[in-house]
Amino acid sequence: MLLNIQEINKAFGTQTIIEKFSLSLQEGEFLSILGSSGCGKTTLLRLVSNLLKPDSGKIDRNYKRLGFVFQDTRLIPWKNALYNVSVVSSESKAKIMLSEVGLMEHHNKYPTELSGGMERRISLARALSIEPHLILLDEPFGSLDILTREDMIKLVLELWKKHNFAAINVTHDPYEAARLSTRVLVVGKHFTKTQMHELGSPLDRSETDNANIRNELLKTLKSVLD
Amino acid sequence: MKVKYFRLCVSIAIIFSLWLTGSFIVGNDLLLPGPVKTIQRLAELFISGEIFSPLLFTTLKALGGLSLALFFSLIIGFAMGLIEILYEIFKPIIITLQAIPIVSWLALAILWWGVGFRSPLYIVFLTLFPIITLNITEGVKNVDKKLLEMARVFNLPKKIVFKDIYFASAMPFIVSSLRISSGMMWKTVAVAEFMVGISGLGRMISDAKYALNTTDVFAFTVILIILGIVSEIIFDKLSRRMMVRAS
Repeated sequence: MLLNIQEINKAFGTQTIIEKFSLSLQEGEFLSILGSSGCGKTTLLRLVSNLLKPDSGKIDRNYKRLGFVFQDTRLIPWKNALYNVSVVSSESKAKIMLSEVGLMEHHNKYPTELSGGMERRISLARALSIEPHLILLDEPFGSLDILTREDMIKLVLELWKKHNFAAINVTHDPYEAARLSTRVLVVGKHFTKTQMHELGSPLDRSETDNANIRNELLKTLKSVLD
Repeated sequence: MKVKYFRLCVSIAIIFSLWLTGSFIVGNDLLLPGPVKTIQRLAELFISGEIFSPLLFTTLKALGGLSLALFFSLIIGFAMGLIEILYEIFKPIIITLQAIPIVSWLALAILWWGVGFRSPLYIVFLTLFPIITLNITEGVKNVDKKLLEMARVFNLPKKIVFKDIYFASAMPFIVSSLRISSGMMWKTVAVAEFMVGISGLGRMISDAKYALNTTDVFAFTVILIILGIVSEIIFDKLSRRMMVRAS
């Protein structure tokens, strides 16, 4: 097992964010956590990445390398794309990953010179350049236009197939969850009510399958929020 | 660009015509020598080479004081920015230093370091050090916490975090404090030389005052003004470049 979260609790002051939450993740799995805004999804990723400590409970991490694609990319603004990727790995790996995300020709551009979609792809290249066993995606397609988002989804699936990393993707978008995941965990407030959807490989599904899954996920999301 | 230069010419023309008119009205070179006379005197000073030694000494003291201030400010500013306890201990001290009037330093400088090269140098240092230190501290404290989190997640080496995140974040603050300092340093060094110096432009102004040579006072002042403006332009250009990079 790559990751095992056992009954964790997290509160900020008196406000409970996550209550008695458990989850396990196998190698190569693509898990999406679907929940409404402010339900604690990002906090969960921060707990997994050890940026936060749980108040109680345990997180077993059985991987060596962790990649993180932040919601706000967090590229170093005064460094070019190539440096932003190579700083976590090496120049040769950075070049390979930049080619894989299709941005090698923009390698010497600064983040401000890139579009939102390009910045996300650089951020993805950075996370993948360390050859992670697990990658955390914090709403990586939020605030992107529909066409760019579609390209990004295809790119992530392609890279997932190629590199076989495990991923936890947090999102509020049922369609995105349907497109990407092998499993979707729909979560309500504070993670108290949850429901898991086992989906199988996203590579084998048709457009219609994904549309149906999206509708189901939406229904579940409504029910866990009640 | 052309419009900008035209406006600059207009503003220089206004200064000169006001100065010229004033000197005509006053009609006494002892009180207000005109621009033509001042420029003539400046030319003489340069042709005879008389100006170079004081110019060199003033520049050495000013840049020496600035470098000394920058060196210590970098160390203390970064320490204060990174370590909260040091920030709380040192901030009141630095603010006290900043509040000490230059005349008090001048009075003490004569006693501590005597009249000579060292006193103006140290006074420039003491004047600039608090300003640069507080700016660097601010820059380090303003570092983007999200970038630091990214560095933690990806286990970036401490050296890289310092160089690419902390130092780079503080850089615009360092340059902007140098810009402010560059304006102040010439004025400070001139005052210090005037009071406790044995060389330099400030000392020359002092000598000229005793000789009732107002034209020389004006000529040396013009040089100090030019030095101040040139160094501000240089640091302004640098800080603009930093700002462009940072944004």
